[in-house]
Amino acid sequence: MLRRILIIGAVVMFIAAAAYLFYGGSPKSEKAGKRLYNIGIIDPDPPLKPAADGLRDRLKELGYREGVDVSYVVIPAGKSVAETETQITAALSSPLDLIFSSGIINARAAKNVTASSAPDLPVIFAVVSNPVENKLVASLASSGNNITGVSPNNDLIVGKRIELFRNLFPGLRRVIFLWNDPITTGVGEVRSVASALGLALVERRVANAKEIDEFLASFTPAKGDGFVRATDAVNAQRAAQFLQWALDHRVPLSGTNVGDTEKGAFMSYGANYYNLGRQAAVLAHKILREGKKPSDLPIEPPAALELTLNKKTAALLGVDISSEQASVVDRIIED
Amino acid sequence: MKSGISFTRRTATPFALAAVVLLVGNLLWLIPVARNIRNQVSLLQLEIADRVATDIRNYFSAAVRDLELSADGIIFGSEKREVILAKLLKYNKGIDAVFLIDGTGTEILRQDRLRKSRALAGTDYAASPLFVQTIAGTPRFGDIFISEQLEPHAVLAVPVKATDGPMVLMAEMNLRDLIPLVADVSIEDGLVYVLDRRGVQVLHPELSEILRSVNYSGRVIARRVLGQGVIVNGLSGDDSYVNKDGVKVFAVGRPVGIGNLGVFVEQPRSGALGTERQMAIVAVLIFILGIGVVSVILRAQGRLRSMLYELDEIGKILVRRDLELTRANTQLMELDAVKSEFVSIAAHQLRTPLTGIKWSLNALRTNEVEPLAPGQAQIVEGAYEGTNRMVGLIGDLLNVARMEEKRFVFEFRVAPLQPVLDEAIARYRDIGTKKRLTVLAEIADPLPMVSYDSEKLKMAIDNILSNAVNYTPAGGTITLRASRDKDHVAISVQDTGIGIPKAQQHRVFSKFFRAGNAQLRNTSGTGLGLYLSEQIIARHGGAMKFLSEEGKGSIFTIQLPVAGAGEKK
Repeated sequence: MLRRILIIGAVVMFIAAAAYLFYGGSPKSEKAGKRLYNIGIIDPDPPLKPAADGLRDRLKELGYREGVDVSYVVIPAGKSVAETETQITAALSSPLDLIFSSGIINARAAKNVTASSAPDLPVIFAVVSNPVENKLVASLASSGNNITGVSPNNDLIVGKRIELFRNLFPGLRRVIFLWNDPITTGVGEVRSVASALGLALVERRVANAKEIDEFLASFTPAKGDGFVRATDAVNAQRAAQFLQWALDHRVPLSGTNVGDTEKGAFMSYGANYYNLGRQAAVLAHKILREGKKPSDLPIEPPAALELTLNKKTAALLGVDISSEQASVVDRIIED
Repeated sequence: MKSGISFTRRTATPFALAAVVLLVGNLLWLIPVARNIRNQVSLLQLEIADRVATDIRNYFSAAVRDLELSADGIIFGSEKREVILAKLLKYNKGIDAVFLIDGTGTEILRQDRLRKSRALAGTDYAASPLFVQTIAGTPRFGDIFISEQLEPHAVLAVPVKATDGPMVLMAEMNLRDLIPLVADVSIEDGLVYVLDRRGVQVLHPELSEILRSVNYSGRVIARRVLGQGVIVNGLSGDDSYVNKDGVKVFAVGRPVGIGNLGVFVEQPRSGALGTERQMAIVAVLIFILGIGVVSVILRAQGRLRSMLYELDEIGKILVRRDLELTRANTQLMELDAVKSEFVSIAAHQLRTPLTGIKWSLNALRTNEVEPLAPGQAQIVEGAYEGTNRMVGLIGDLLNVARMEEKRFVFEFRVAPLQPVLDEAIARYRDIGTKKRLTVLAEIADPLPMVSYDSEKLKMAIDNILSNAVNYTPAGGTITLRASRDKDHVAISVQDTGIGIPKAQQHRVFSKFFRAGNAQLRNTSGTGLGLYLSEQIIARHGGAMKFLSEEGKGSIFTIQLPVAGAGEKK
């Protein structure tokens, strides 16, 4: 009997060891495994749409096949934070693994809704400047909540934007700057730089789009004026009107990203929103497939800033661009 | 007799010997294999570390080259300096800001990607070691720090031999692009990280880890790489350490070759040396398997030994039995010989007086002495017939005894068979007539010559014809046939008698055999006739066969070889 037990024990040990030998050493799979992920995308304003496109494209490159590995649920954006919150709340009736939002209004709405009803649902934002002072996250190093994202740092680079604007348009004497959100737009930096460069500044705080319309209808630009589009939600609503106004009044306009330049802005300096979406996709990948928490992922600055120039608009405005000036431009839009 | 196998001293010794051999054999291959595995892991990790170090060096070398090119461009006057520096930012995306510092340590020009307002401050670098060392004429690499935007940055500085005095061109490098160099390394569960000269972690796949700025100078491997500038291959015992997750790791490290940085590759020992563990398991499996095989062999050997022992015992018993049987057989043969001798002597001794009695009775019944009264004649006739049967029985017994004692002398002569057959037909035709039987003869003419003993052959044919006459009811037919059949002459006797029951046919040529139906019909037979006939024919080199069906009759056939037939062949 004892002999039989010993033999059976040896055989079991042999099989177990062999099984461990052949299967135990296999590489570990990714922590979270693979399955279909539902990502809610809050439908952004047109200027911010490239960010969502970048997110989808990069996730596809990372192996997320639409309909197989990932499913996108478009959440309509409201005209206010409250309306967007209602839409997000409705979207949460179906299971979501992550929410992607662009712009401060949508990001704030996502934060408010998830904080109360889905505190573990990750939210990734793009195109939100100064997320700390905007009270989206506790710090850039760690949000301390379910949010992380990529900032274009528009509040920080607006001064550089004006400097580059002056370099490309040396006749600049006065900067026109409408703003609503002092944090996102970096109006303080605008004032400092304008002063340092010896430029006059026409600044106006606008409470809503209607006030922008009223300003544009009543303001008469002078020679040497240049319009710097602010990067807050209210001004984003009138991006097209600003461009048209600037062309109508032959006023050079500095946009925030290449999208503006492509639509006819004289120049732009800032992050490429499409690329911000691609950066956000990598964060999403770390959360979905690697099991990271949003609070483990620091808020990222833009991977690159680019200076763009629309040569056709420059010609239309009668602004000569020397080869030396053009040599420092990252992208020149020819038509 | 022994049964089963026990773990005795006889099996324990080879078992222990086999275990030691297996153990030593395993160690002989396992130790060098394990050493080789560690070397391979070390080489692989060092290769990764070398590749990462090369990439980092190339990254900084390219930046230094760009800086030096820009420095060459700005040595003449100040008109183009701003554009040159702006182009530097355009073409080298890793540079976030660039400053031109004059010989007094004052920043005179700055280009950056963010704020203009701060750049006009005119920072004083005169006391900065980086400035002091660079103005002396050598490119320098400053410490890595975390920027306001929470990214790892480093300052590079190159001297500028400007016509308006020596200057220093400094660049603030954004090291974000170096993170993929350590993040995209394919090493199972492994990690690649970079420490600066202080032991602070400045590059890691996760930005959050970089921001922690953890100091790992307590690790022996870090002190050796950063302090002594040596390549550590991980094979020394103190090269391993427990990482921040509490996992003991196999690690290597090497200096980057720039900025006093060191690149390190770590992998959990369980993963890195997984093959070593697998080989150890293989060794254990081989040991277990070997022990199993040895155990089976010893067990089989024990069983074989036991079987051989049992076979030996059985052999001895068989030999004893054989001896006993031989002895018994000899005794039986002796008894048989005694019996035959007794029968022979008894028969011989009985035949003479019986013959005398027979003659006397014959004289009485034939009234040679004096006429007998009718009652007396009947008694004498009965006595005569009984005596006659006894004389026949005695004659048969004597013939059998002579046959078995090899005293039955045959005198073969080559002669025609016709006279023997004619005589037999003539005799039995008379007897058949008395018994109202029809006796026919179908003798082929001519018949070939046969070598035979006339008396013995007559005896054999007589026995068959006698049986046919005795066991064929009145009105039946007996046919004697003789013809050539290839190399034989076939003599057959067919009757329409009672036949032989099928179940008893196998005993027809046995001594004293009489079929059951024959015993009921005629009690005078001895059961020796067919036995004697078969023996006689066998001595002639022939054979006897028969076909019989109970109630329908029998055919007995004698086959005798034609004289000279065998010789022709």
